Amino acid sequence: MQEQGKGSTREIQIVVFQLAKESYGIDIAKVQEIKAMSPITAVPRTPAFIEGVINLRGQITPVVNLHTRFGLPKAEYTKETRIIVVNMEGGERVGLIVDGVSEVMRLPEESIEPPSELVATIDSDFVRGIAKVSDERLVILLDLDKLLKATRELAIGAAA
Amino acid sequence: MPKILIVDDAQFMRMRCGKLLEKYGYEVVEAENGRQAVERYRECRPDAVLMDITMPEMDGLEALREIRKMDPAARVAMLTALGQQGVVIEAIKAGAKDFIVKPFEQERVLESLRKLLS
Amino acid sequence: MLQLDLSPEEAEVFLQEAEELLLALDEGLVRLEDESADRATLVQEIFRAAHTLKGSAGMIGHSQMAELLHAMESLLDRLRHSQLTVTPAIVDALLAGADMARRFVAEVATGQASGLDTAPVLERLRALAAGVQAPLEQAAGWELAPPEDIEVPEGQSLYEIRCTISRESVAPGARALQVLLALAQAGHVLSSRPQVDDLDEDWEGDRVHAFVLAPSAEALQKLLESISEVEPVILPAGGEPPSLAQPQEPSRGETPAPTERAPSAQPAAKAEGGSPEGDGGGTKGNGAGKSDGQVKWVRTSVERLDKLMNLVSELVTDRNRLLQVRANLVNQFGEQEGVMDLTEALTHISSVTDQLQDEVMRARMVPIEHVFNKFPRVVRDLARQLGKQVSLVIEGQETELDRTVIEEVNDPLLHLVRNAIDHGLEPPEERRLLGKPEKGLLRLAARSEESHIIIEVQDDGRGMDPHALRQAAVERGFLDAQAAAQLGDQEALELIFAPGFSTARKVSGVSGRGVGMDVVRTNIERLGGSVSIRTELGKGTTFELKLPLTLAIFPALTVEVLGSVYAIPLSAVVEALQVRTADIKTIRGREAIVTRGRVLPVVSLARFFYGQQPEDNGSCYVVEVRWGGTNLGLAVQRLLGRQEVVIKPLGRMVGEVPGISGGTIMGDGRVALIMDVASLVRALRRERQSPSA
Repeated sequence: MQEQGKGSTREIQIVVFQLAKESYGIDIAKVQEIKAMSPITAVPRTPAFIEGVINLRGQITPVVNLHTRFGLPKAEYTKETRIIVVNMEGGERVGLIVDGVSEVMRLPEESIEPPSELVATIDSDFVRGIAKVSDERLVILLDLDKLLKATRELAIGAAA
Repeated sequence: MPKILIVDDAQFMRMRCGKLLEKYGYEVVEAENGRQAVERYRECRPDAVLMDITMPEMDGLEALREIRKMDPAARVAMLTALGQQGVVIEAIKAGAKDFIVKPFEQERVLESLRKLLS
Repeated sequence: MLQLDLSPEEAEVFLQEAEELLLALDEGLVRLEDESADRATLVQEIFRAAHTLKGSAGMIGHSQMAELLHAMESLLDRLRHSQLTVTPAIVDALLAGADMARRFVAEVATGQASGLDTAPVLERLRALAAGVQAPLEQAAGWELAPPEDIEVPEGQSLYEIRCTISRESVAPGARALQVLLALAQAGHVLSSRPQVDDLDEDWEGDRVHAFVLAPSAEALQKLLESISEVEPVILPAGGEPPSLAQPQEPSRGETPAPTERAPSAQPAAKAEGGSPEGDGGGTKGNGAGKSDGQVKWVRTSVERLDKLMNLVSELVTDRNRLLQVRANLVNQFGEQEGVMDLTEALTHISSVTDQLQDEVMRARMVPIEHVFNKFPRVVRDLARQLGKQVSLVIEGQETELDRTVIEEVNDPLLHLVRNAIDHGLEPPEERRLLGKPEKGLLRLAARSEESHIIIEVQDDGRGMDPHALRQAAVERGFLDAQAAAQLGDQEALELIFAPGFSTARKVSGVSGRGVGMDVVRTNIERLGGSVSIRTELGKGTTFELKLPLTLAIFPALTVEVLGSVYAIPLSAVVEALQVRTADIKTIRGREAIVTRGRVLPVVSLARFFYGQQPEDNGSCYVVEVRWGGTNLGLAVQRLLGRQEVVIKPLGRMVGEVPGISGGTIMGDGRVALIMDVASLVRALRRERQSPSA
């Protein structure tokens, strides 16, 4: 967790992306890069949320469709669609397809509240907290490690 | 207190051996080659001799012979390293009473001396 | 933590040498049991290896290892001087010593003491060296005949003297001399063996046998006891059980060895200079150490080779990419000057890349000798353990494999060898009754074919019975009777590769034929290879392993399935045919075509991968592939071409996909999937068994 001590306020730095009109954030430390969509090779006989694999500078990298993963209605790719490449534990990379990436933001820790029942769009297991950025804007902070781990387990389970 | 003559060209050996013998109540005299050994023997008439084989100027075998000529009752034990069986045999034929292998164990030396002196 | 006098640079050299010496020990010891071997030379080599390793161990301060090797050296010394003959017990003890030495060497590598107790092994070695375990006839070894017709003067008696000289003595001859001189002093020596004149530099006996006249036993006793390293036994001549004085010397409680020592001059110790190979280990080095003139070696690390390999793979990919780009440019601009310049440069780069790839692959090649050389020992131990007699033949040691393949092939080979000895070969009595030589044959042979390495594990034992296997399948509920009956003979044989299948009639503590065979096949197939069986009942079985030369880059046939590109390793491809959809028949519920006079089952990859039927435009292509004895046709939409692919993993998130082994990056930068025929076939079989796929 990237934290900066500024006097007594601690901050976190997150990448904010959009998914079905909601804003989500993940810790920037885990983000390798953000790229535009590229041709995805579908891999048969894999769970639906595995969209396929891409060529990331010579490395074959799997790509997860977060819409499918979170059970959201499938969306069309637009020119805003991005692939966020993140690092898993153990060094491997995974791409996450998102509707768009809006910014990198610093948030004071105090502005993060624990997830409430109200925000139940996605499995709250993966939500670390909710950040109130402004009166109209909430960013749902994701626990990326948990998410990836659970995703992987699903993938293995499905292949059996 | 029995007097023992220690003959070896290595100072370290003489020192170690000497220390050991003195600890057990022997009087120690030293020589660093065969020629010195013969002289020392003549001077001090030690009760026994521990003689190294390979030495400059006069080796142990020759010194043994000289000493035995001087004193047919001389009690000499050879200090030998590996691979000197031939010389040891010659030494025994020439009157050495025993031999001890280097690097020697304390026990062996003391035992040998005891036998020599009995 | 182990305290050793060894710097990291020295450690590398020590470990490398130690490995060679340990190998020499193992190899030499195993060969030693072969009666037809040149034992004298072998013992000398083994002795050298132990001696050299002992020296190094001592120098770095590993006293346990030095002590162990010293004990081995002493025992070997006895063998060297023919004081003992080679027995299985001796070889066992030496091998146990070698094993422990190996573990000590591992300690040096890891820096961690492993708390090994050398006492039992040391005891065995020392006891053997002293001849304790050899079958003893007490009287043998003291062969001096008692003197006849002698007059025993008044006040004297005839005594028989038996003095044993400690084996630890560095100058036994000198001790013997002391004994003889003492006897001469106390009495009158009538006869002795050795005699004083026999005693010289080279005398290496371990006893003095004499008959003396002396006033009393005590007088003799006293004198003899004062000689170090000598254990005297005084017998009144007449042979009565004497009242013996207790042995006083610390000579490790020996009893005489059975073989009498002739005090002849021994050539052994002097021969140091003559041997061509220097110290015992021989020059194994990397590569087979062959010298056609001067072969110069440079050391490099495995990591470096892997890095080189990766870089070259990348280069190959980009080269392919460039070729594609060039092709596009030609399409677009025709053969203009600029494009032609590019073509020229590219052609050259392409050629250099190919050569580079070749050279790097070669640099990673290691002769299979490195794997095979462990087997004589393994086979020997297994044969003894299982009560079989095995003659091991090894061929093709110089055949080279990529080092990653070599690492992976060891375990499967081990398994197959265990299997052959345990289940293939009959016990000696049975073989005799069958009119076969008592020693079973086990053959490990390697050879290279165009793009493969073939390794055979062959035995001349019982062979495998497809019928018995079919039966066993039914009995175990593995297959129902009908399915079993439908299995062809070859398929029945391959039942042993099915997970969970075993026909071992008894558990022998070593794998049964079938148990673990599925692992063997999986491992081999994971390397891109295959295992097949040839057998003849009563005559024997041969397992044939087919392995790719290298893992990372291989030629493939690219095809299209419902718009997606797949690469099929060419090593699996038999041929590709264009087929009219009408020619695809359904036989016994499955699709097949008739080609070259036989029926080839066909699988639609569109259906297998995507669960969809492709558009039927009257024809399609069928790629016939062969895997582990099975032929199968893969129906695809188009054939695209043939190219070299660099296989890359798809990523853990994707996991294992049946029918796919990885991905490759094509010339256009897209990822294509690489087919894994083995897992495809297995998945198909599973689906057949549970038809609700």
